This record gives sequence, C-alpha cells and structure tokens, in this order.
Amino acid sequence: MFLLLFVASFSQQKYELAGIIKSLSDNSLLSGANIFIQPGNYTTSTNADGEFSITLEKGNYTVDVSYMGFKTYTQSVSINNNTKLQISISEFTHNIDDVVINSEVSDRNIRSSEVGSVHLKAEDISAIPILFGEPDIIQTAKLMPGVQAGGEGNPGIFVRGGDAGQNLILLDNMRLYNPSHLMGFFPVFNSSTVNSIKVYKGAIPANYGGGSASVFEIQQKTPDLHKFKVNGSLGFIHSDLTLETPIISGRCALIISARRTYLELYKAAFINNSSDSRLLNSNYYFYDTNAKLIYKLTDKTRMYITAYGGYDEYLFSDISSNMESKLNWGNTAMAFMFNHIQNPNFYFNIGGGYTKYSSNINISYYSYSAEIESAISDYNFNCDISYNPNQLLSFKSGLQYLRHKITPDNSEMVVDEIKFSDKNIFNTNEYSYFISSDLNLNTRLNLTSGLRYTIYNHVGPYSFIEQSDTLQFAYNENVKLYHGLSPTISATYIINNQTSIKASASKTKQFVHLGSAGSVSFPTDMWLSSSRNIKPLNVSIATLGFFRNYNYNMFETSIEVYYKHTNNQLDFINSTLDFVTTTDLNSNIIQGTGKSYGLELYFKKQIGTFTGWCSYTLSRTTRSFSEINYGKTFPAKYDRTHDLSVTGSVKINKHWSASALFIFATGNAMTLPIGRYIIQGNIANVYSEPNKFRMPNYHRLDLSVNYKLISGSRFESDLNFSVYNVYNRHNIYFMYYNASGDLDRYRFFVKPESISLFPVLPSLSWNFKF
Amino acid sequence: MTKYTPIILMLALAFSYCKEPDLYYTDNYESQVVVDGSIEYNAPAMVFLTMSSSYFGIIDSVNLLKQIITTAKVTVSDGETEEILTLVKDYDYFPPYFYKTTLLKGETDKVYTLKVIHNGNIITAQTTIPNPVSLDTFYFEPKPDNASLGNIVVEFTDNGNEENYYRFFTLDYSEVPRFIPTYFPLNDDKMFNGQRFRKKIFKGNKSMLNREDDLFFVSGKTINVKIATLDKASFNFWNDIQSEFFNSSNPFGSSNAVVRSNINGGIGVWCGYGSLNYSVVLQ
Repeated sequence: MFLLLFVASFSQQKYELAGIIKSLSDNSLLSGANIFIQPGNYTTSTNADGEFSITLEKGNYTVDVSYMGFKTYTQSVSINNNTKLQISISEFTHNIDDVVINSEVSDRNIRSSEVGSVHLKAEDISAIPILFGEPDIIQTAKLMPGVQAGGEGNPGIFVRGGDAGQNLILLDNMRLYNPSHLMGFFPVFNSSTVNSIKVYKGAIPANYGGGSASVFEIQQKTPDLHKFKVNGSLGFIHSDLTLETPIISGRCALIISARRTYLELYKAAFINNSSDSRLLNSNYYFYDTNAKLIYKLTDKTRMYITAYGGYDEYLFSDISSNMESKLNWGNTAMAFMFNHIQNPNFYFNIGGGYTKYSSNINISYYSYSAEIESAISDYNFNCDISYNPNQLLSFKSGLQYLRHKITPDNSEMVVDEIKFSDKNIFNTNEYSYFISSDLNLNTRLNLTSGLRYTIYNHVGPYSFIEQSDTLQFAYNENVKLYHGLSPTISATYIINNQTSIKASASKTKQFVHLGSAGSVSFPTDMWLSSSRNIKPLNVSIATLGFFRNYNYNMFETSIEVYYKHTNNQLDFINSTLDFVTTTDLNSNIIQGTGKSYGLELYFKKQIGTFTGWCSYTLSRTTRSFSEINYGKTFPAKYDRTHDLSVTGSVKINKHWSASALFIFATGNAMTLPIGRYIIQGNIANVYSEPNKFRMPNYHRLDLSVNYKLISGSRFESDLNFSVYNVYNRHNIYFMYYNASGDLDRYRFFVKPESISLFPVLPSLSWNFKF
Repeated sequence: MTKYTPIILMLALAFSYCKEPDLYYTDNYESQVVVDGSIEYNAPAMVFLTMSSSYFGIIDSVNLLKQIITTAKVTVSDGETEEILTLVKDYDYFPPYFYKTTLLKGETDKVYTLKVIHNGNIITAQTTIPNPVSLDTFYFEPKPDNASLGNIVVEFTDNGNEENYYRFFTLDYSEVPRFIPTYFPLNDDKMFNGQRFRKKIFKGNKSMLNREDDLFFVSGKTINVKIATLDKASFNFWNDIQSEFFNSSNPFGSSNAVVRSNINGGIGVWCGYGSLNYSVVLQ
C-alpha cells in the first residue's frame, strides 16, 4: 500500500478550488452536497460546515452542485490561481409545475466508493411519519435494507445477522454504548440537532473499530456562526428546545438542546389516591441534552467540543405485595476535536473524549433484595491524517487509543439478611493503527482498501481463582493480550453515469461484547470484555451490489447480496437475572459461530411532489454452539426471512403534507414447549430445538399529516398529527403458554398468552423555528 | 435487465410467504419416562413415575391418569441390599400412585442406585444422602403491621469443610397433608460457608400452576419445618426447574435455559435428602 504513495504526480501546475455551499433561503450551510467537475469527472462533497476543496490543473471547468431537495446549480470556472467560490442554491418549490428535472440530482449511490453503506439526511428522516411530533433517525435507519429492528419494545438494531451489541454508534465521534429511551419507542437523539446518519453495514472502513456488524455515524448540526436560531416542539408527552447561538460572530458558535418527558404530570392529574396504588407509585421519565461548540481558531484550524447526556428512570412499586423495582440507565459522553486543513490535499484531526454507559436495576421483595449495576466507560484519544497526493489517490492513516473500564456486574443481593455481592471490573487498553487508501484506477474503476491492527490488553488490578489458588494481577499487569489485523477492500466499477457495480470483502474484530441474557434486548444487557474466558469476536463479510438510477437520478435502485461468517459469537446458557441463587457469570458464557446471508433490494424516488422508498431484505441467520442443541445449527433469534418497509410522503400544497409508513417483517424466532411433565405437583416443560418456531408476522401502518401554520423567513411553525399503528395490529412482543389448574383435582389448562405493546396511538404536536 | 426488473422482483418476493403461523401446532414429540424420586434420611424411598406428554395433547382426568406408570419394575440398591419397590396408592399425593420401599431406609454416606424397567427401557440414576443439619433455633416472626400473620425464622450452622446445598419445606396439616417447598426453598452455602445462617421462611405455593403467593403463615397454627441437605446434582435440578417455573413466562428470562437432570434414559430427578423435621407453634 505504501508503494502507492509514489504513484507519479502530475507535472502540470495545480491550484486549489475551494468553496462554501449555502441554502439561498436561510443561509444554512449544506453538508454532503455533491460537487461534480468537468472535464475530468472530478467529484467531491461538502463537509459538515458546507465547505469543499479540490486541487485542479490550470484550465476551464464546469462545476455542478447538487443537493437533495435543491435545484442543481451549474457554474463555469476558470482556474489559473487558487479560487474560492460562494454558492447559494435554491430549494425546489413543490408546485407540480416546477418539478421538471433537466439536470441530475444526487447520484451519490452510483459513484460513492462505499459498499454496503446507507446515507440519510435530515430530509429523509422528516419524510416518514413522525411519532409524537418527533422524527427518529435511528428508526429511519432501521427501515433500510439489511438493517432491522428487533420489534416493538426492543431498542436493539440488528445489521445483517449481527447482534445488537455489534454496532458502533457514534454521535459526532462520541461512542454511545446502548442508546435507547423507553424500550426504543422514543428517538434516542433530539432530531432537531441531527444533521445526517451514515450506516456502514458491509466493508467497514479501517478507521472504525469496535463495531463488527455496522457503524452508525451520526452527525450533529454545526451551529450557525452568524445567526441566532430557536427551534422546538411542544407535545403531549414531551417537549424539546434547541438554541443555536453565535458566541463570537463568524468564529465561534454553540448549539444546545434539551428534551424531557412529563408523563408524571398526567399521573398527578388523573390518578387519585383511591386509584390503583401500583400506578400511583410507579413512574417513568427520561431526559437528554446535546451540545456542540465550534470555534474557528484560524481559517485552517477549528475546534469542536461535543457533549451528550441521556438518562431514563423507571420505577414500579406495589405496596400491597411489598414489591419495589427501579431501573435506570443512561449515557454520558463528551469529545473534543481539532481539525486542521493545511491544504486541500493534506489535513489532520486530533481528538479525544470520554463516554460512559451504565444501567442499574434495583428490586426488593420481602426478605429478598437485589441491586445489579452494569457499566462501561472509555477514555479515548485519536489522531488521523489525510493526504491526497493527486486526484486519483487519497490516503488516510491514524492512531487510536482506548482505555476501557468494564464492570459487567456489580451486584449485591440480600437474601434472608445475608449479603451476596459480586463485583468484576475489567481494565483494558485498546491500541489501534489504521491506514486506508482510495484509488481511482481510471474514470470507471475505484479501489478502496484499508488495514487496521489492534492490540487489546486486559490488565490488572484483577484476580481469579484457578484450581483453588487465587491469582492476583497488579495495576497494569498483563492478564490477557489479543491482537490482530482487520483488512478491508472494496471496488466500484462505474458502467455509465447511472449504473455501477460494487464489491467488497472485509474482516473485523470486536473486543467488547454485549451479553443479552433475555429474549429481548434490554437496557440491563451487560457489556463484557474479551479476556481469559472470552475470545474476541471475528466477523468476515463479502458483499456484491448492483446500483442503477433512472430518469436523471429521480429513481434510485439497488440490489445487494452478502455473506457473513462470525466466530466467537457470545451467548448465555442460563439467565443472568437469576436471583434465586447467585450465578457465576463466566460459567454461563458460551461462544460459538454464526452465519448470515441475504439479498437486499432498494427502490427510492428521491425527488418530486411524491417521494419515498421501498426496501426489502430476504435473509437467513443461524448460530451454532457446542453447548446448545447438541452442537447442531439453529436459527438466530432475529433471523428474519422477510423484512419490508415502504414509505411515502407527499406535498399536497404550500400548507399540507402527508406521509405514510408500512412495515412487514417475519416474526422473530422463538423456542416453545413441545412436551410437558409432572414434577411434585407442578407442570414442567420440555422445549423444542432452539428458535424452531415463529411469532406471527409483524406489520404496521403509520400515517402523519403536517400543516404549516406560518412559513416565513423569520418564523416557522407547523402542527403535526400522526397515528401510529393505524389499524391497531396487535404485534406480539412476547409469547408464552400459561399452564394453570389443580392437579389434585385433575384439572389442568394450557393457554397461549401474548403481550402486545403499542396499540393505535394518535398524537399531536406543535413545532416551531425562528 | 429491463428497467423495472428490480421493482417487480421486490414486489414478487414481498408477497410470497405472508402466511400467519398457527399458535397451536403439532409436533412429533416422543414421550419420556419422568422420575420424581427421593430417599430421605431414616425414611423409605418414594418414586413417582409418569410419562411426559405432547404439550398440546388433550388434558382431562383420564389422560392425566394414563400418564402415570403403574407397571414398572423399580429397584433401589444401597450397594449392599437391593429392594424391589411396591406400588402404593395415596390420594394425598399427585400422582396418587407411587413406588415405595418397605424395608430400605435412607442412611447418610451411602450411594443409592435407582433402576426402573418400563416397556423394555432401563432408566437408572444415583444419589447420596448428605449429613443432615440441625436447626439451632426457630421461631415465629409476626408481621409488623398485622400480628396475626407472619413468617418463620430458622437458624443453623453450615459445615465449612464441604459444599452444602439446602432445600426447605413446611407442612400444614390443616391445608395439605404433605410437605410443600417454601417460597424460595433453595440455598447453597457459597456465601455463608462455615457460618451461622439465618433464613426467613415464607409459605410456598402448593403448586406453581395456581400461584397464590400467599406468603404468610397464620399465627396459632402448628407448622412442621423440614431442613434437607442434598447433593449438587439434585440441587441443580431443583434450581433449574425453579428458574423454569419463574422464567418460562418472562421475556427477560433466558431462551437457552436447560433443566439439568441426573436421570439416565429419562428426565426428572432422583434425590437424596438429609432431612430433619421440626414442629413450630406459631405464637
């Protein structure tokens, strides 16, 4: 790869063409706008601050700027010295007459060298029906092919057969370990601060470590350096407010937002003392805050500081049966980054930060009480440089260091006044180096490759018992060391302006695992470190895709196939929520292999009065563990044969717009009793092979109508009415068979029981912006 | 490839298998012999034998009675003597038929081998009776808010030289004339090895089929409390089956849980108890 550095550079004189792309209506900076320069087929896109730069030889060029929802802008430029452009582009007005497309809109899907990736912008997110007035970026990403939701009440994301813990979720370079609010029902992030989301589900670029199935890179909006803005919404369940303010005009600005639910107010208003005491003493709320500060130190150097805090608390108390349980979980993260652009061909980033996820469950019942805390926290430092020796070749290389402190279980149980306590802490160092290159072999063929080398070291203080001897490890003393290479390669062949073929293959390693003991992904799932007993996860994936756009990129389609093999997949044999006796965590952990393959289809109409997309995945995911099912392969819990989502949104006129979303998915796999037997007057079950049965299929329709009350350059406000689960489908969250009766009287009944979470739910909210 | 092929393909695949599975199903479940056997310290061995049945088989009194095995040859050996058990009938139990020794009684430090021959199948299991542990003290503890109800407190000292496993039972003749496991009846000594242990005893459910969770004893009654020691394999079985009763209807329970049995050729448990009984007057 290093040899490629010496690819001959051009002898002709070169100049920098830089620019900034803004929206004509509100001067907001447009990130991710595509720049296409002819002759030479040069492409680039704007960064988070709406800026781009490219090096060109002396000559005359045509610059096309395209951005979804905006008219394509074309300008001729003569390059004979370093040139700077300021381009303002105008939005499509949505009168039918205006939608005559005579130039190209985004063809990013065709040209981008990223294989198996999804890129969503704020506009895509707001095009789907919004629940309780708030669009959800993560839920929108789950509608993409290959990315699946676990079902209602399950916040987990399952990408191409990977488990919920195999995703790297980054919010502006801050890793969030288990972000969810109210079992996935509320958006994790305040959508008004989110700019875009990029999901890598195939070849994961070498600069990312920690997510073996996918990377979710969520970018927050960069605050406006010149203008004060307010944006918020008022809903029945929650409200949010976002402030954007310049601190030093043109140099430093801050965006800060906060959300809070207030279900407890309803409780106070509607439930009096004579009502069910369980409701009166139960409570749920969450809040979250986001902040981002940008400071332009010089024209070439800027600093970003970002922070996120989210917290959920759930309390259930039943005084009559002497039971109280409390569950809380949350993420805290902050990061800083210096970004220096020496010239368009050489720039670097230096950053670092801290992140923590913790959950706490507290249960008391008569003489039994249990408190289980699980946490993971990271300090990280990273730096990377990007170097583009010429238009055909670019490099990126960097170093990363992570210090993890993982406490899978810090439990204290009191049984009959005897305290049982258990605390495991794993301190680990993760060092990585990566290098990646992007090479245009010719105007049609692009080759991207990357290599990541990681050393993962579990260090003391730590102790364990081996053959009745206790082994003690001092601070920073090596307990277990793993290391390995993660290579990735992908190729894009552009057949013509509207058609391309892409292929990729990669191997990734993951050293921190998420252990989900129950059958649903839950905030109390624990993060576990690779160590003596737990080996790192290895994932190999190959993807092949065909991409074709129609009608000047008005329609975008793709077909992708993938095959994935996973080694050291982690699972539990018994429940970790076993309060009856203490369970040794390590004796419960098993590791095996996983396999997944699938076909993904995607169709999108990206411009016009009516826009929307349809995505479909046909896949199969299996697991094999020597300890389960006598080593025989069985379907994974989230093996989903069919996964379909269809969305559409229509702009009816200046005031009215509407959108709809339909989801259909094969029911989750489950294990059911097939036999029963009598033991001491009780009925015990004999179970089928794991996950042999299926829950009923999942399907749901959501609708939403938006009415723009005021639409002006100074103040905007709209009313949103949405209905979740329009035809009140009882999608099953959990299914079991209930046995009841009295064997002494020879009476015995078996009844299937199911729990569905969310019925038809209408909501109304008022959003404003000035 | 025509222009619309991807769209057609997408639609065709999406609507191909949209069939709702039936919540009830038939499965070729093969019945197994279920052993619920025990031998207590200084008491005869009792073995209940039934056949497991398909989950959705018809349930009525005839079918329940059909599940009971009354034609097996059951022997128990302590290594020196062997006895063929006799089938007895007792409506205080379910199933009302079981096999019982007449001469052989449980002793500590002996290995008891169970052998069942039924329909040409041989089912075997082994267990031991650990040393019984006596209660140092036991008394009734009334509820703070209602003195007519309360729980029993027992204290005993664990043997620090070995791993010990305990199971607790109570007997209230006015309700059911047999010992019922207490609410949370199991303890291992991992956390109190060699120490004095104080346990609060709450009334267990007669059966998990009709859980009443009526945890308190009524003052004035006389309750028999049984403290039984058991070996690890037996403890594992009861612990797993208890998790199964609690977690089988709980979405946060594991889907991979397995009940560990010590029966070869069948399912269930053959369990030796080092048990001692105490009579507690609740006042």
